[in-house]
Amino acid sequence: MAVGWAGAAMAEPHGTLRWGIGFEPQGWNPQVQPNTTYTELVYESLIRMGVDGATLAPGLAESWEVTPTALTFHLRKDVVFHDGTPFNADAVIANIENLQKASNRWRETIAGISGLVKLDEHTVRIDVSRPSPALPFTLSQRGLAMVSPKALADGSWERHPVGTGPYTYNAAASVSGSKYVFDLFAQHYDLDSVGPAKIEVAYLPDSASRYNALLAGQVDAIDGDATQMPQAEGAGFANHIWRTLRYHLIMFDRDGALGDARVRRALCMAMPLDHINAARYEGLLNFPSQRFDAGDPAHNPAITRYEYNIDAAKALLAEAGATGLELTFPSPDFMRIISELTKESFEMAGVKTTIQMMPTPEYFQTFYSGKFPFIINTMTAENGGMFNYYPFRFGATGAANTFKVAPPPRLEELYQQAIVAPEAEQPPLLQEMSQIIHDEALDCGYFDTAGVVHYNAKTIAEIATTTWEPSALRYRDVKMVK
Amino acid sequence: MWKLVLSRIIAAVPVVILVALVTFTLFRFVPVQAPAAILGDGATPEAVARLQQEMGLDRPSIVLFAEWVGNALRGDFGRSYITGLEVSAEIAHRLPITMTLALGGMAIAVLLGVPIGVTAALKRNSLIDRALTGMVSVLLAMPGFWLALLLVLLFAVELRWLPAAGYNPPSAGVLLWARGFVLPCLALGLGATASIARHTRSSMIQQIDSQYARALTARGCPRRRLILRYCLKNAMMPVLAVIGMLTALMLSGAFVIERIFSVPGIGSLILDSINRGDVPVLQAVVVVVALFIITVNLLVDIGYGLLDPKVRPE
Repeated sequence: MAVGWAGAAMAEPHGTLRWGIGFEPQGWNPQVQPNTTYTELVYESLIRMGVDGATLAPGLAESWEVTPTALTFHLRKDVVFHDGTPFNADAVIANIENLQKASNRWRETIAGISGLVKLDEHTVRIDVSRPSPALPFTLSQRGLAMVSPKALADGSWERHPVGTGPYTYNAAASVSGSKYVFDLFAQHYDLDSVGPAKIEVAYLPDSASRYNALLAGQVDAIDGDATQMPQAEGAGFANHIWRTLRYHLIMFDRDGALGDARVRRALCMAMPLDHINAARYEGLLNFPSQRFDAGDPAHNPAITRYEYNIDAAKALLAEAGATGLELTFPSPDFMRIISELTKESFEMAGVKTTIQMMPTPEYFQTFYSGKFPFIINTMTAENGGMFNYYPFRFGATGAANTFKVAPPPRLEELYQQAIVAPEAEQPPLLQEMSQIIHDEALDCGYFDTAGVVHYNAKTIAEIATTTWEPSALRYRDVKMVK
Repeated sequence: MWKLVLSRIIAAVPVVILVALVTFTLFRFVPVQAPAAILGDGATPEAVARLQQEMGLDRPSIVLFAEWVGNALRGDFGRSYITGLEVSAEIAHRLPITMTLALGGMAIAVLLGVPIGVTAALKRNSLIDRALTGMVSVLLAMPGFWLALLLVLLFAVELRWLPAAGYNPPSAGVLLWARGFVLPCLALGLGATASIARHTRSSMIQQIDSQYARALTARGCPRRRLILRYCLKNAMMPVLAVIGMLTALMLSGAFVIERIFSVPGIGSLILDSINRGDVPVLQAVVVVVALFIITVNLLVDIGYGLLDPKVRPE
């Protein structure tokens, strides 16, 4: 497969985008913290994710070829890092080797890489020990952002970012804990496609303060809230909405408390999606029937979602002999409303449910621990498609298979067939996998949350975001009013 | 006087040690593991265990405490687990911001509260007294965060005279820097103003009604001199205690105000560190805040000693 791309030409960069957000940078190592608000500004990857969050487009690689044993990347020849280091095959190799030495989950995603070969200055081949159809998606993610090899070697990259992105971090003009300034990188290879000439990110942790800062004209756009949309519109601001995260009922203990498919189906039927939508999201939620949308090879049009039906859930639990079922699940404070509604609904179905509230950092370090039978959460590592989703969630060594439950044999069989099948023969296999996952209720209760940007249309002509990328804009694609 | 200062400093030492010990012990029980925080999302248990060993966190608690205290005494609180920045540098950046906020708020409180209290006392039971007392009651009843939002809506959103949120360092221009502090300091100081005004009023009335004041008046002491030289000085004793208490409270109030105005002070640092599970920062900040409160109490004690020789040790 060969891929090529031609970027749309825009006017030269102009204006300053002043963007207010409730996150501050937590270091510059893109592998460690999900901090794309900031890392998107300075780093780029070999492959760039498209606006739809699914299409892969050329980034630092102009094109690539995929075979069952290797991926060959043809790199752009006009790229330099912010420190002047040229971007080339050596830089790609240095970055992948750096990740291979790391201790985070990204290393697992490239475990299939068996060799890195520099074919010439701007061509690099990545050999794989097993078919790795998910690798291009992985290479588009923040974990594989390209960092200057010089900064990697001297260890400074975790404190000061040196990427190839259209903006450079201006530490002198930034104020820790308050404002982060990014200047245009004059040597960027594609300046014509860059919108704002400068970006100031204001860290405004309180949502009401963010909104007031927008009203007061201190910022041009803020990471907003669905509940503030009518208010923002009334005040003369525009709203930009996009899909950010796909949450679902993630059932871990598929051998124990949730070992019976009827119990799992009952929980799927007791997920109070409409209530969550009304209570927290102003009706903006989207309820997909399955993990992957139409257009994805794993999307099975025959699947319909489990409808909310407490009586049916009760009957299924009774049939399974699980009338005294007791379940505990963790929740961080930002999920409190969703968790409370779920608990209430599960209890109506007859499941004694306990929420273990915990601080956000503890939550993110705990839910993979194998202590909880289920969680309601999002897992962005699955986004790339069935080849990411299946091994991560159901594979024997999958990071999200916390109870190390063996998948249904037919599911594993289909996966093994699909991974070696030619691309054209994959869809029926992947769709059957989706069907089994649905029928066995291994996963359900999907709801897509919406991100909202309130912005001043007098200064910003167009906001650009990427589906499944919350909190970060496609900064270079934002169009400022002249 | 020096005896008083010395005795208070000596008394503060065990308090600091106790705070350090309690802080260290409490954070040993925090469920967020340091290596997991460093490695980020989805770190494998094996990697967490390996890093725990590499960091020496599997050593006995007493060894870790001694090491931490030794480093802290040299001003080295380690590095943030999350940002990798030096904790002492981060505190050095943020503490002056919180101090400016707290002292600015206190300055407003004292400069407004004392004259309001004195005026109300001098015009006791008059229309002016009732108006001032009523205003003070409203300010006392108003939560600081609500007052902050009202100030923002008026001065930032409607009039656009002052920024709604954010912070500019002095290097960006003193005027710009100062403008950013006006609303947070007002939000912080107005509640304390009410408290100080109320205490000043009652204390002044007590002094004006006292026998020595009557005796001085009978002897022909001019009223202005009586009020300013004798009554006000004596009335300030209990007010000073209130100011000391309010300064400590103001620090906690500053944490809320920092959040509302997005001011990057110590309070914001604490909240962000809690959210991120950044234990080295939290440990250091708790100790620094405790030191600040101990210092304020020491200054209040010294102020007492200056105003009232009776409290000085023999």
